[in-house]
Amino acid sequence: MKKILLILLLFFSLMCSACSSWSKWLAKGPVERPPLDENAPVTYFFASSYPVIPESSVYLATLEKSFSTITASDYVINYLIKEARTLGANFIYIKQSFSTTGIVPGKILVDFYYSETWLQNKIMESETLKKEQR
Amino acid sequence: MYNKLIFLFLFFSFACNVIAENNNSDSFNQFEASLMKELISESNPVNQIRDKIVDALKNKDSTNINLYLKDLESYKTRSFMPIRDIEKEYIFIELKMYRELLKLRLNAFKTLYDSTEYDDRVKIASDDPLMFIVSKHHKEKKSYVNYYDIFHKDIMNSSLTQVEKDELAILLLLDDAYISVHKWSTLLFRVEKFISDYPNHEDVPWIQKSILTPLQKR
Repeated sequence: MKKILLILLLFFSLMCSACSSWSKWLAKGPVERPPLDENAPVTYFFASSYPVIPESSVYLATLEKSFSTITASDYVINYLIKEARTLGANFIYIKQSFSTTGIVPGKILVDFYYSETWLQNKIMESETLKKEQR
Repeated sequence: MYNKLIFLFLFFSFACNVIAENNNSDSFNQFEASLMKELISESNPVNQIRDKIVDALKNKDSTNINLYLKDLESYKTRSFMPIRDIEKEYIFIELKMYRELLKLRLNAFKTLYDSTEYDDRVKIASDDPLMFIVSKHHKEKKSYVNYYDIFHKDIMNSSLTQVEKDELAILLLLDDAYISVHKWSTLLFRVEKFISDYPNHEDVPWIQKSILTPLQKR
């Protein structure tokens, strides 16, 4: 009986460790913005594919987030979008997290920005699309 | 006697066949040539210019490249892309046109988030020798090898000014800046040095905001 309990406990603790994650705010910018509406458009880009940010971007904060390798990427993205809206950011910039020995698996560095240009372009784009559809 | 006649008959029939085959082959070649000519004349001017670029690449001749690219640009609309940046980049690298490469990279990064240039369903000039050459090059090029690592000696020996060389190095190294801690640190050092060496350079405000800010936050 004890053995079964021990196995169950081990299994449970493994499950917990696999699902557990933590986040740490590494820096916050000098500018504070009001939170965004829960339907406000927020997008994310990976630094490895987009190694520059829009020039008009206002830096808001940097977050280090760990997540288990079994955590669904949708869960991480939704978490980041929620954090972004709270900060008033509409632009999430996802970078790798490194230690002195290399990439840390299951850990990302995320910058949050508010970018007017990106938003304006998107609005212009949707306006053009609407006109064309008419 | 009959044997001789049969032999002569066979010989002549074989000779006739050979001549006929030659004639057929000539006429086939003529047909093929005329078809090719027709295809070339029927192909649109964009393809013709792109073919000229391929010839220039084969001959390593950069003389008229800018003219060809200017001609191609005249066909650019919101719904049609006559040449892709990746193709231009290949042309500039192959023909060692580093000043043009610098301008191309600068513009590409500055407008990276500007999705208003083309429609979502933009038609791209493709399925031709230029596209084939560029695709082949990218299949053969190892993704982890940066262009700067391959061509830095050529860039250093080119006619670019020192500031242009330094800026081009940054723009090429950006490709894999975020894949390792070493590359990240190397680029951060170069960017900070560029800003301190050329504080009045016209691109410094953009470099500071768009490149340095995310590199520094870690």
